[in-house]
Parts: sequence; structure tokens; C-alpha cells
Amino acid sequence: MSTASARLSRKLDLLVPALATPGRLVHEAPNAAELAPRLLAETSYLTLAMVPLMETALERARELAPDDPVAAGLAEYLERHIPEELHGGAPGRAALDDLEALGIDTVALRESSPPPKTAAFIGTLCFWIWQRHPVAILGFLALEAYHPHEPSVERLIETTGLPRAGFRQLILHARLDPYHAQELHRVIDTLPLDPEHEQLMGTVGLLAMEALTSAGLDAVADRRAAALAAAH
Amino acid sequence: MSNTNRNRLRRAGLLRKTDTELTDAGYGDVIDDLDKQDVDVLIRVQKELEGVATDTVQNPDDYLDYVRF
Repeated sequence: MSTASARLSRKLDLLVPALATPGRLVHEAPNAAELAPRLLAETSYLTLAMVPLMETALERARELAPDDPVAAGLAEYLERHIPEELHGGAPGRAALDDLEALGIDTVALRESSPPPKTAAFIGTLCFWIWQRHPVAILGFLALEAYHPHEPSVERLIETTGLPRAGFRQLILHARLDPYHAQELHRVIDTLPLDPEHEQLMGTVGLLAMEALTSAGLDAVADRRAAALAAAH
Repeated sequence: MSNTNRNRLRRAGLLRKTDTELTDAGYGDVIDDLDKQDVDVLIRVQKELEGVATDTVQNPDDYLDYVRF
């Protein structure tokens, strides 16, 4: 019999090739050094939202916990996992440091609006955490299983000539996320989930992947097309 | 078993496998259990990728075949 984490992974697997496409477009572009910082900046909004969204889910889970074993188990997990995602600093600080090393104006970035599908996803997830169930957050965190691969990051550094300091978080997550994903799957499989919880997590995971894919495509597609046209 | 999800995904050009191939690959139940909203997401992503691939790569099907299942 399959587990809840396996069922969730099988569902999210359907969008993994799409999620990988913006990165593939960058790797294969003649102007990869221009595109890589744009891709990382446009997809950073979701990274920056991760801890605040987990804190929202934790707050709601604590409220429900006395009468809801799924919320109680979720609260225990989030109390452990939020400090792990902070990496000893302020939320998102490490990701912003990397972007600054790549020449991104992070003050302007933080003042700008996120891509529409990213904003829609964050708003939807907040609403569902409060109105449906905070376990929705686990569908978003399930994307940790689709982490960057260290050899790909090293190849990107080599082909673009961009500073290694701009890729510290990608390398860190390439190393840590397999363990985070393993722990998350263990937690999912120990929670007394019902089919509605599983459906909610699956939909949230797919929407997160859509938001990331869309932001990534927006970041790279036009500039890549222009570079290819110029090359021919 | 309702074929609604499979039919929608086939019409969108996203699902290429036959029912037998889908079952053998272990994705038959995954597809059938998708919520309508989930299928909407898959189709929206596919449409966005089609638009980008047509504009930005020399052989769009190289990219689109990679995301089809």
C-alpha cells in the first residue's frame, strides 16, 4: 500500500520536467551569464516567502492543535523546521546576499511586486492555511524534494563565470534539501491525514510549481530569444 | 473509473501514453485521482511552455516532449 508522501510525490512528479525547463533554457543559452541572475531573482520571491508562510501555518496549527491531531503534529514539525530554514540569520537574508553577489539590486527587488502567479500562490496559500487547514503548507514544502543538483550548479558557475558567492544558497540547498525532504516525508507519513488533507497538499504543491515555472519562464524567455536572434 | 482527466489531458496534448502504458508506468491512478483544479494547473503550465518554446528554441518539440507524459 502506498504512503501519503509517495502519493504526493507521484502527483508532483507530473510537473517536474516543466519546473526544470527555465533552468534548462538558461544552461543552453548563449547569454547564460545574463539570464541566471534574472532567473534567481524572479524565483526568489517564493524563497523569501517560505519562512513567513511557515510561521502563518504554525500560528494556525497551534490554534487548532488541542482538537486536531494533524495540526498538533504539524506544529511540532514546524517548530523544528523553521529554525533550520533560517540558517542562523534573518528570514531570506542569505538568499538576498547571494543575489547581491550577482549584481541584483535587492532593495529594488524587495520593493517590487512579485510575478502575478507568485503573488496569487502566496495569497491562496495564506487563505487556505486559515480557511481550510494549515497542513496546506506541507504541499509547498514538498518542493524541497526537487532541490538543485550540485553538479548542475557547479556547471552553471563554470559556464557563466559568475561569482561563486552568488550560488551559496543553491549549493547549500543541494546538500541539505535531500535530508529536509526525507524528514518531511517521514512527518507526512506519521500524520493521521484524511483524503481532503492529501488533496489540499497536492494542489498546493502543483500551484507552487506552476508559480515557480511561470516566474522562471518570464525571467528568461524574452532575453534568451533576443540573444538567439542576434546570434543568427 | 472516469476517463475525464485522461481525456482532458489528451486533448491538451499533454498526455501521450495509452491507458496501458500509463498503468504500466504507475501513473494511471495518479491521473485519475487528480482534482479538476489540478488538471487545470497541468494544462495551464503546458500552454505557457508551448508559447515560450515556440518563441525561444529552434526545436520546440525537444522541450515539449520532455514535459509530456
